[in-house]
Amino acid sequence: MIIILYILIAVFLFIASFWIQTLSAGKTQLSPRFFPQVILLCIIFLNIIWLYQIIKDPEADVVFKKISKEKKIRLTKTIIISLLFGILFNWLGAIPAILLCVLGFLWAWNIRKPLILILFPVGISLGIYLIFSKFLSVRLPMGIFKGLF
Amino acid sequence: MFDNFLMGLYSILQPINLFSVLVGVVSGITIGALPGLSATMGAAILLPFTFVMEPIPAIAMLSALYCGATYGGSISAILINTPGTPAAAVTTLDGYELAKKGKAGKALGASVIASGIGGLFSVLVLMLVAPQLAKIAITFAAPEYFALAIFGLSMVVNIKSGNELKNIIGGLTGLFLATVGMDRLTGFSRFAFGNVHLLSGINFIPVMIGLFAATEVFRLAETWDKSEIIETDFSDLLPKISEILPLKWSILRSAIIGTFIGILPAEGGTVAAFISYNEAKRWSKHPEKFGTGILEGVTAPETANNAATGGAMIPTLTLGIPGSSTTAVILGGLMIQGLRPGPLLFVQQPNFIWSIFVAMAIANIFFLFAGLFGVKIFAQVTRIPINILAPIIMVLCVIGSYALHNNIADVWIMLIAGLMGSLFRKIGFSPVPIVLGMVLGELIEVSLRQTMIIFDNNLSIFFTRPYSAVFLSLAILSVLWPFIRKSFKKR
Repeated sequence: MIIILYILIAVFLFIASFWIQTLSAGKTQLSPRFFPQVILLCIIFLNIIWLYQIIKDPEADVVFKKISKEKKIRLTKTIIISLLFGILFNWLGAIPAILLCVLGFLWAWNIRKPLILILFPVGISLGIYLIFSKFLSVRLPMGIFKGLF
Repeated sequence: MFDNFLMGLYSILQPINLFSVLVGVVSGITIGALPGLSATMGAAILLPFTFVMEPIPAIAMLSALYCGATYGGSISAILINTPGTPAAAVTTLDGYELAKKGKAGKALGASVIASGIGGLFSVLVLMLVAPQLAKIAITFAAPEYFALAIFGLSMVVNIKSGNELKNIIGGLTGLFLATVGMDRLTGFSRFAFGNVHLLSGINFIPVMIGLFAATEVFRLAETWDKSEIIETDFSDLLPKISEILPLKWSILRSAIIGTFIGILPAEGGTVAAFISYNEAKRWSKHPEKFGTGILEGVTAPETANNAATGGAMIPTLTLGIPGSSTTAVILGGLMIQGLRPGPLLFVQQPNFIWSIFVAMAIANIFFLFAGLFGVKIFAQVTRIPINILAPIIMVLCVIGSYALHNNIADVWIMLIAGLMGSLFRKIGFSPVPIVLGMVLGELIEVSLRQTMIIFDNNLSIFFTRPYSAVFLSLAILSVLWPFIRKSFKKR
């Protein structure tokens, strides 16, 4: 399934490559299309070989290892919190996003001690603020709090 | 050479530079000792801290981290039978057996001594070989660079963590990603699909942070279990001279193997450690004792994986071709500092180059002392629960990607790379070929097109110029080698 998706994406990109502008007088040099087109053709060709190998011998391919339900849930929560982190980082601002997401991560990774759940996110947020914002002068996003501080 | 060495020594002895090396070593040993966190990941999460630093302390810190983490991997390998870094996987075979016999202290002592010797040997080779190689490389023109980059990329076929076909597909995927954005020669947009952020291309730093660090968080989420620690006796740390002296040839052989493997692009400490362990076993008078808990089973892989650090820096600094995944991150660090790795760096910035050489030597001496006198503290690191570390790693991934250009698009590139890396790993892809493809992509394309312009589309030029012909022949051999080896095995 993944291979077919990979081939389809490569085919789409190959077709899209024909929309890349080229120099009309540039007959003496390789056009900007040439290199990506060669790579995409190679990717398509090698994926077809891979697909053929799997059809010929399905056991030769890597089989997804089964993981326990608990770990599956932990992974799903980690992915969701990471994506939320990306959204909140810009919208809510870096420090509140770190505070909330570290709390979320700890919860997802089965930490239930109230003291850790309170102190750790606060400590990390404060540490990041001091190191990156104050010491390294990185302009962290302020999000909806822009203008308040 | 001696003058350059003194210049580098003087520069690195400046308090800020020395402090950076110390920070790099301590963070490296700590990260290396933590199971599941590799040297590459450590370098990736430490990278953002170098953005505002001067080039010498920044790269000295990353290089020192590389040395420290490679050694640090042996601590958890010996104490909890879980290699802190992939390069320490072989160390578990005899290291943990020694720990079970109550000789963990001795195993840790032997490991740090062997690592120090391996590291220092490779730095010496780095100091001797790199400037000479740079002198040759300075004569290279576009065809040689194209051939060299192709040779570097061809090494992905031999990466042990994936199969050949998937490694090639990974390398090509990296090459494709490098073409996204504005074309360097014409300025025309490619695959940006109207997105302003994509117009400037996909920077390989957030991709690397995603592939090496964020992916680890996702992997740990689905694999982590509480690990058990065996109680350890640290009273007998220094092995007796009578125990180490008989291993001198084994250590020297491993140092040579490690340095040589390290020089090969894309190969790293893991391969070096495996080969050295096998060679030590093959040359031993008592091969049956390997795996039962003998010091040689610890010293051989540890010498080799640390020797690979200096070796891997040779192609990175002289040719701009990463010798390992960690040096790919260091290469990224160099580019952030506005430095272009390659032979010109040796001519334009000799002070910088020699400072890094000396920094690596000092890093090896630092961790020798830290390992002998601070191993009790570093051993406690293995007790830090992963569920406390995971959020810190993810926060550093996000901040690090953002801090690169103060751009949220880089955070999304990192997150997508992390998720894709997770999926790729599940289907048997190694992230290294993708990164190598991205790092070398621009060099390959630009040098190919420049060659075609200069030599009027004459492809035979690649085979009529000696260096380019040699590199391309090596590349062809490198790609075909696994298949030749397989056909020999079948016979």
